[in-house]
Amino acid sequence: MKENNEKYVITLCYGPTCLSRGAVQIREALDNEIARRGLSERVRIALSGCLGLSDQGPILIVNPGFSVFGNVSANDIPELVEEHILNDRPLARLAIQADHLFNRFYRIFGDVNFFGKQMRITLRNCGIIDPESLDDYLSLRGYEALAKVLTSMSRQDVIDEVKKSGLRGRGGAGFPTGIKWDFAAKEQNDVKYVICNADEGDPGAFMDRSAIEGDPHTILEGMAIGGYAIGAVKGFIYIRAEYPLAIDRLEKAIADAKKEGFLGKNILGSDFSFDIEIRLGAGAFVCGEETALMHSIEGQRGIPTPKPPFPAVEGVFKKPTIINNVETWANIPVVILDGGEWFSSIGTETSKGTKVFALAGNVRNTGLVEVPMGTTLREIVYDIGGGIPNNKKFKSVQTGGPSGGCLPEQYLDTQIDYESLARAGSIMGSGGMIVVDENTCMVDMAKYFLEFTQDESCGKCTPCREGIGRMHEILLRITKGEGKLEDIEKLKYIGRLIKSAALCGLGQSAPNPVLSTLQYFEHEYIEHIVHKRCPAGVCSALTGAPCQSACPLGTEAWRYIAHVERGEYEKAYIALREPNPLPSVCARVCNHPCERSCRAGRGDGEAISIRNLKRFVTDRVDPSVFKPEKSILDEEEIKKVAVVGAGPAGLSAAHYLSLKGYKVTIFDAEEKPGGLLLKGIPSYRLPRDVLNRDIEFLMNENITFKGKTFFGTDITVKSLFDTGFNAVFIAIGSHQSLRLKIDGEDFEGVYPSMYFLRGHNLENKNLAKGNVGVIGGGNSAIDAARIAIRQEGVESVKIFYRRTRNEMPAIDEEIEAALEEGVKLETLISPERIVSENGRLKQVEFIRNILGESDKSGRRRPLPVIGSDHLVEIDTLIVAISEEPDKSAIAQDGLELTDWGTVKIDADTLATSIPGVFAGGDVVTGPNTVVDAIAAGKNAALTIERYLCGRDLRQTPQVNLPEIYIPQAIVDEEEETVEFHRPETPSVEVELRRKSFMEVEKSLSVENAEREARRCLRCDLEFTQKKI
Amino acid sequence: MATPLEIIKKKRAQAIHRIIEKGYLTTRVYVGMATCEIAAGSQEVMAVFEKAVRDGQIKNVYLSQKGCAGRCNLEPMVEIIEEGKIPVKYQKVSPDKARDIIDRHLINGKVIEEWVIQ
Repeated sequence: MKENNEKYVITLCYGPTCLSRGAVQIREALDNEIARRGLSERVRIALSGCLGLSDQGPILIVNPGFSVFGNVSANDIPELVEEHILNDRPLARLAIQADHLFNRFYRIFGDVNFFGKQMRITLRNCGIIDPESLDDYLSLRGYEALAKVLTSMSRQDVIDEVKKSGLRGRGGAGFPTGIKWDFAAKEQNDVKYVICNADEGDPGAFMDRSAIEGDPHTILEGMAIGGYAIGAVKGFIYIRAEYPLAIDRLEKAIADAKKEGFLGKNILGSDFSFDIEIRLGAGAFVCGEETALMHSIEGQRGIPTPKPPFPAVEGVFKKPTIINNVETWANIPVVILDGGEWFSSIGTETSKGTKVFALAGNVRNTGLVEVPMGTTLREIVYDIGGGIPNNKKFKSVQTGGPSGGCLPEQYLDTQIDYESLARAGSIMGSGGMIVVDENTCMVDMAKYFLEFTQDESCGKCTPCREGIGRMHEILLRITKGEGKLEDIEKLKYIGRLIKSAALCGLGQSAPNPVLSTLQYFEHEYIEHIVHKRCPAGVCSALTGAPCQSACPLGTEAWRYIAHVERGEYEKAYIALREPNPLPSVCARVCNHPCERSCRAGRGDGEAISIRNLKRFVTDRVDPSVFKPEKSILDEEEIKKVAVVGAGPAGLSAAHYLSLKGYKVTIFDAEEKPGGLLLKGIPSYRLPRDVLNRDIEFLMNENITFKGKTFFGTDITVKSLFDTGFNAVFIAIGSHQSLRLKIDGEDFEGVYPSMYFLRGHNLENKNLAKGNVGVIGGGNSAIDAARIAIRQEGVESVKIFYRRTRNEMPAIDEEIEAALEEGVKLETLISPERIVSENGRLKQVEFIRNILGESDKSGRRRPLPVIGSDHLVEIDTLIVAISEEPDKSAIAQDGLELTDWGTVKIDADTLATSIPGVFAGGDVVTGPNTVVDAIAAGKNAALTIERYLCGRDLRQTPQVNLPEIYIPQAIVDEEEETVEFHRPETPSVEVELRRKSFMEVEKSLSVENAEREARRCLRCDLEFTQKKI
Repeated sequence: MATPLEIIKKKRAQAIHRIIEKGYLTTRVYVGMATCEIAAGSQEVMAVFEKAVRDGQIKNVYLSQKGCAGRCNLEPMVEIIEEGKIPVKYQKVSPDKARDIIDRHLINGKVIEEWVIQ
């Protein structure tokens, strides 16, 4: 046997799993063995981070040769060294898929979060080798597939292997590659061609560019194999001129390959000759369409022609031609070397192998990913992409570029293959994948893609040229707020027409973005058309400033922020008080939709801390600076309105009605006004003097408050009308905790959250004792937990939630604060049964959950894990799963309710089934936010006024754009260049606040507030600044 | 006559030999050089490493470019593979950072943890 003198590098995985399975011992064994045999000159040991193969660890890789070994133990080392290093016979019994090209990436990609779920076949060399070095490519079995074909495979063998692999065209349409080749091979013709379609034009897609720039020889090798298979002597690579680096690298690769005899005459000493020429495109999107592309190569204008004849029969220069995409070609060497059978073992029933995607948009890890077919969209977006940055909500994933569709959250579990994506209403396309979050307007997105296809339409056929233009005009109209409801049907009609009548793929697929957004996001179109609102705050003509447009009260946040920057605090107060009668309350407990919509916080930016700025202002300004205008009515115009419920909805309705001059009486079951603000929200979030001050200032002589009056018993709709009220507004909230509906709920020690919260807030009762459990994930669960941990005699507090933290509806800052204070959180768990001792709660039996597929709302359903039930010792259990309105109060003659036990209203007018009776707030929506309740009260005031005046209740929706011009403060240049970040909310230290009910949050400092105000992008100026 | 497979095997052996001659078994430094990386500034980063090699500041280093690994938001990327150590990938490398990497990592052997892709 010949002696082996090669040098080797042995890479040992030092990832956590491999370490736990004995990687250290293996290293010692290796050191010993190498020393013992005197191989230290020839063998070097390298350590790597986790190689992503943990399940087969410990992993060891021997280079060159890239042999991967798994489940290695220290005892295997002498044999491994002897066989591999001394005898050059890699140890077959430990080898894992050692023959497969794709394995190589494990060699260095330790970056497991990103690469762990990927499988890199097409991109096997990208980011590993020097793309300009033929030696690098050769060292990784480069051109071996071509050599294998030329040595031992007939043309038919090659085609059969490709057919067996199940490889389908990666350009988007997914036609089986082997069959295409077979057609061309069967044509009798002396001249045939192969083409590589590298005309990559989808916005946001860059797979082909990266593949060529990272590994150009793979494409050449694939094309040469294709040329051999069909009997072609020449290949073209059609690539756009705007990819200069890719072109340079291709040119160098072609020159190098020719020099070494991999291209040109008599390749590798065989009788096969093949040459490749690069043809540059000018960047017209339509030239990615195969017939147009071929015309362009011929030197003619790039416009499509009808098929048949198909290119395999009559292609470029009227000769049989196969045309495949870059990615398809890059798969060919793997199919040949690793075999069609192996290739077809990857992927799904109908789609084999892997697919490369250019992952872009609102995901943490944007980039190029390659995954096996059958991977779900969720895995790509969340596991590889790392999820949506900035705590934003996922909205849609767009695949296939301008020809594809947008899929909503409930389709995240769709497996990626040609058929599943098509069934869901999108397409695979060439691999663009754009993820968008809640700040993206789907109408605007559809408009953008149509703008693109309209520009790129070649104009040859009427449906595409004219149809896309008309659709674009309609979309433009809708985004300006000038749409009509019939536009939706019109869009669908024209879309279907273009799909069936356009000449080529560009036109046929151009309506897809519109049709798919209409399918899944029709409500957004309707919002634009009917309510003149762009829910995502994108369409400028309907949004103005996103903070203002996102606020249910239409608060001009930009305006008070501008005043803060200028140090004009009183003006700021007036700006924030005008639309909101409970400003200090909102400054503390608002869930601030304005910040979610803030332009500074889009993508991975930092939204302006609007709520903290509001707090800053309300803390500094005396409420009396705001003097609301009051109308004075004639005697006969004065009407009496009854408002039932003194929570945020009722108070706000009463306030605005009183300003109109009406006499309002507020009735409430409690002694004092405040509703849930008083009964539910703990004082460490909302100190009672703050709440009382806001209420005091919104009251006036037109408002009377009557406490301890129960709706349904003391007063009813009928009795109110009988006693002379002209209209009634029902705003009693949702104060009845839902029951778990499990055994033992009535034992002592188990409390509904509202009972617990009210007991603490109004009656000063300490109900929590010992180890406290809280069931639920909403704000009342967090409030209950944070109150409990402050109560005497409490040892521990734990929240149990059935889904994961991501799905918890509570405000994120609140969850964070609770955890800081020592509240524990256990997720994916549900209570099954309550166990008692002497009639008192002792234990709770829980069962663990896993998240299943998405339900209709897009949230993933919790599914119980059989056999995971277990008992937990709990002394106090607070049930905070949700609340509903008090049934006994609203079950009144003629008042229609919904199936969920809330009052049924007309969403636009708040009118109930009884004329003159209106309802709003949580009694209509179920548990909801404070700001939504205030907005409902405000709307009620408007609609009740219209009712009392006998006008039509419906109002024409109005767009509120910024109107008041406030110049920016003058900043000295030095400061202007400093970049500031969003300040943290100042708060009392955990040790101090944990056992007291003092307010947790504090006001921003003047310096921080002004800096934060300066960060505002001032979206208003676009509308208010005088054009110079 | 040799078959194409025999020819390619020979060529591969020669290629591996040439790569090793160039110092492949020493410390390897890779700078990402695809269009995306270049747009993010990798040419300037490469220049820093090239100069350090030229000036003899770092010795026994196999400096090479490579294509895009797909980590677009972390580019330019520099990867260092050293004998006996876990390969290190640095993210968002600027010329200044590159000089630091030369100083602290390549010369003084200290991995700069805060720039490493975990």
